[in-house]
Amino acid sequence: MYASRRKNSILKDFIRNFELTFLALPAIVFIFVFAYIPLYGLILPFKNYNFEQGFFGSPWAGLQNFKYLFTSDTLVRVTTNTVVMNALFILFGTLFSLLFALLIFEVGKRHVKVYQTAMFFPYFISWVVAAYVVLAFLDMENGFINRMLIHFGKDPIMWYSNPHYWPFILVIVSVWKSAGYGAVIYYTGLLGTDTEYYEAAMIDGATRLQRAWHISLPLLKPLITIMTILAVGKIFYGDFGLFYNVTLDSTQLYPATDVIDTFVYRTLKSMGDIGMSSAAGLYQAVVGFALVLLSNWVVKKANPENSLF
Amino acid sequence: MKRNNIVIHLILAGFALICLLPFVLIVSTSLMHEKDIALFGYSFIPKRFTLMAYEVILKNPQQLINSYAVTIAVTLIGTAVGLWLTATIAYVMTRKDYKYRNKISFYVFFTMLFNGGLVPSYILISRWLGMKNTIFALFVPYLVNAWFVLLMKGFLQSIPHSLVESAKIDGAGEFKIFVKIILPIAKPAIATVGLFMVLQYWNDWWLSMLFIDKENLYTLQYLLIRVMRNLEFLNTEFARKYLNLAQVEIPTLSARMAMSVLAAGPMLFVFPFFQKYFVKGLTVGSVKG
Amino acid sequence: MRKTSSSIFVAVFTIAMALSGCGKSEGGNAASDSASPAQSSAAAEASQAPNKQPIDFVELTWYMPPPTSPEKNMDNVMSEVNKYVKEKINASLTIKFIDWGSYEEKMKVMSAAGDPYDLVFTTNWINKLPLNVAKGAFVPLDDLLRQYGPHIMEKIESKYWPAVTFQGKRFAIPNPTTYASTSSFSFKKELVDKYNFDYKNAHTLKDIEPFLEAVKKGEPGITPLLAMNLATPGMSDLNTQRDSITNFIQYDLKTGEFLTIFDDPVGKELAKTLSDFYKKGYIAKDAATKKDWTLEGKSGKYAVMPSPGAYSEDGSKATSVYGFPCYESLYAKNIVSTASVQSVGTAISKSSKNPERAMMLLDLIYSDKKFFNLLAYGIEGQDYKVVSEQGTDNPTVETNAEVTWAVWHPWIGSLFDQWPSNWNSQTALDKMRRDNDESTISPLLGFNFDPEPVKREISQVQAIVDEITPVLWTGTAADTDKYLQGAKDRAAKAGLDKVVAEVKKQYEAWKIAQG
Repeated sequence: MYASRRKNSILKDFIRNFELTFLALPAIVFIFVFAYIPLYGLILPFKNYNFEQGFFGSPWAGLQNFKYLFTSDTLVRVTTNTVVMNALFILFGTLFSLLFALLIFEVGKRHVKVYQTAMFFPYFISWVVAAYVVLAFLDMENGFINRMLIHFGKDPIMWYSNPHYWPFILVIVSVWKSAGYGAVIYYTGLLGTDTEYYEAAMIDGATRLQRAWHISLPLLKPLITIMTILAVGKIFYGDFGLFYNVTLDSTQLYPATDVIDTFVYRTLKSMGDIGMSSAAGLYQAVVGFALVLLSNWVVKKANPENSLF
Repeated sequence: MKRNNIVIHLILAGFALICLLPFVLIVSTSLMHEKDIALFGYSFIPKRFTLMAYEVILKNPQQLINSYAVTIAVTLIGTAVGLWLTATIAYVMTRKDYKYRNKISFYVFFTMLFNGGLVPSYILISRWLGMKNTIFALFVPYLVNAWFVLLMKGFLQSIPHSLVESAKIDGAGEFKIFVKIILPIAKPAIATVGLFMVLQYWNDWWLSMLFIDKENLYTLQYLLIRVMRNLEFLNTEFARKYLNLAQVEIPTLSARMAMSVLAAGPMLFVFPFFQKYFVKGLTVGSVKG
Repeated sequence: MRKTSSSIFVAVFTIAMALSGCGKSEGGNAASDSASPAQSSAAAEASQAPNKQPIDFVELTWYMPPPTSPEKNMDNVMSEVNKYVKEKINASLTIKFIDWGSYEEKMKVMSAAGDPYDLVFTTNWINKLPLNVAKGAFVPLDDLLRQYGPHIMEKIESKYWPAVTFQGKRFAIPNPTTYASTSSFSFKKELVDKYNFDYKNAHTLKDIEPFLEAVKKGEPGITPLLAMNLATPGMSDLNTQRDSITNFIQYDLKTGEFLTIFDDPVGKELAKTLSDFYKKGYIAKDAATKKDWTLEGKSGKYAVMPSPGAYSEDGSKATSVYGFPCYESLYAKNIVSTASVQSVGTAISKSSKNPERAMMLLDLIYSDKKFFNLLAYGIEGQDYKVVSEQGTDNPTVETNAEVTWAVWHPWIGSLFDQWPSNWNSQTALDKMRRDNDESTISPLLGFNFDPEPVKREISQVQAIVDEITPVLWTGTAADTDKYLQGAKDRAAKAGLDKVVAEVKKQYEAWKIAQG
């Protein structure tokens, strides 16, 4: 009796929501085919994979493939570096993106094009090219900064040998590379907000700062929340291009710049074991997943409207 | 008010200038003599100008022109189809009256972190779908990207539900509401995500590397990255030991930078195009009224 | 929500299993279906009429990195090649050049996915033979060689086969090439002449010190020594008296012992010399962070530079690599080892549908010098011209100034079937062959270490080694002993001893098997 009524309501729900489901159906099917079907690859970390026997035929390896990660003396170092640097990137990246978005929003449409195009440029170039830009500043002999130092009678600094400077350098480079991108996102978010609020505020005679603080930021809150939750999900992934290319893979900098992704790359490059590398990927995904569930739960408690799901 | 504006302009202009540095550097390096780079490092103003790097590349423009055509085609088709798919699924996720919105959000988000890895995707695309060495392999795999969907959802969330309700009262179907009401007011969002998609396709070399081994289907970035990656390898100990480096043609750094300029150049014009749609205010108020 | 995700999982796994199941059996069937008739028909032909061409036309693909880029005359050369291949073995050949940076990854993915390809370039340094064999990517060649490869068997000396033999089966054709590579100091000619340095008798780092000192004193704009990680010149004993088992374990020919990089007395001495040089200012301050040794060398701001790859008495190799006049002096002559024999080879993929025809193609290359040189040099008049001995099977040729087509001979066949040319004169070829015969052969030739049982330990130690060598081989460490000791302690924790023990164990077993 109860069961059939429940079935009935499920069917009713389905029919009532059918039109919207149908609208999204092509995308749902696409995701299923391209993202969910290949998921059988998730068994790879637990297999001793060989080409002949394939995914399902290869012998099980238990947790062997994870061992190199968790028994490494660098695990603490690389995990700390990854998480701390990413946390700094999220913090400063969001701050500067918001700042630039609000500033551009203030100066109006006429100047938007020039500023945004320029700010977007670093995002557009590859890390390889970005590394050349950083090198132009930090090169020991010919770098812009060292030439300045020598010019003012100071000793040149060997930037690529001293890890102490790198947390700062990396944050600056990361903000430089991504703030324009973030600014575009938040600027778009501001465009989507209702102009009535601003008109009302104008009439009330609010200053620009007050407007930004009391209207723009609260309106952007849902977007900021989503962006941050998504970034938290990726907190265990070190940006390989940044940590490998920009540091010139200088081994003397490893105490500050070695992250999970560079460590895995270095460890596996000679052996090239698919099982071991996918083990690292699974580890990053599972931790990121847990963190997202946690932060989503916190957000949901505070305000269900803003949560991701 | 006026003085405030000047301060804001100064801050923005300052940051914009720093952001343009790589552009100056790439262009200037592409105009430099190879030897000067090793002697004086990368500098923003070349000591001596030369157009040699461009001459070398443009001597045989056939491959370059071909790759431009492939890249443009892939970018256009990929972005158009991708935007439709992304917008539809993101939109239903923002509808508060849609029963499965959280489930679909989760369904999408899950794929952002978990994937089956390279080999299963390769088997799917190359063997089961038979896309190897076809143009489909260059855009289909990227059509729906979880991150873009969730970003789009973030943008669309601010559309007031009342809009949909009033349209429904008028008897409009969901498809019509989406096309006639949602899409027009979501222009800035669509332009932004569209821009990101254009960049994704334009900058991609990975799909070419994996699925294409016919030169007439190489994308622009793959032409470039191929050279860069060749070079990285030629600097390894193995190359020195086992290859006769005197016989291997190593492209100069200037040539690589010149390639970058040629590959990135068109994108400078794409951005302003999308900015047309960054229109403030929309028509939310009027529709509502 | 949990319910949704778990049901999604179930659905996905069921479908994935089903799909991959079908895909696999389908692929398997297809492979065996097409392979078995081909096999039987080819075998029948071979036994009945060995000279008659096989009936069914097949397409062969051969993957290799690009020798030069781009290959401008590819279309013409391949159509010429294919006329020949069609006539001789009723097949066609497509060569796919995959850039160096992607080659290894691409071949790995293709093999893992079972994508069909036939012939493949394999070595012990890229698309590594031992790893491919361990993963089951290649087919064993013994039967194929016996049936279809008589000319290959004839041209490859039996003493080299053990290097490509795993568990008693041959997995690659070790194309004959120069096995005993040489290394030399490259000197900037201008400076050697200026300071009148007797470079001809300088064969060790210590020998060149007076020159470095003179340059340091007299040439303020010049860095005396270009040292850069593994490219640092002068690691002589490490090359001449050692056989590398892994990147950090070597077999010492003199003492018959296995040494690790952390307790190798010769290596330590070398590091100390470099450290001394660094402190005296002979090595650039930021040497440990430099990557591009050719770019650095070409700048002309160094007096002594890394080996150009092989020693040339007149300095021509260094001159062409660095782009200004150079002298060279020999500092190391390597031994012939498993690694050097594996340095270039061809294998047949497990996913190949026509392994017999692939072997026939290889045998054609080994038996027909004209075809082989067409594949390597290109077409007469378009890519090269004949200088003398026109019409014989060994003419002397000269390639165009701008290379329009080239596949290095040892990548596809035997270097010693090469027509003499501006690449190698007949004298040079003869000398290389003599050098091969006269070189020291490692007692471990044929020993292939299987890293599988200790792959975790090897990976971790390797990560540590990669971290220290850029510092060690530029003399940048403040205190070499302390630095090495620190690294050694870390390596010990990562399981270095276990790796060494495994190497010894496998070596003993191999020795017993050798009898």
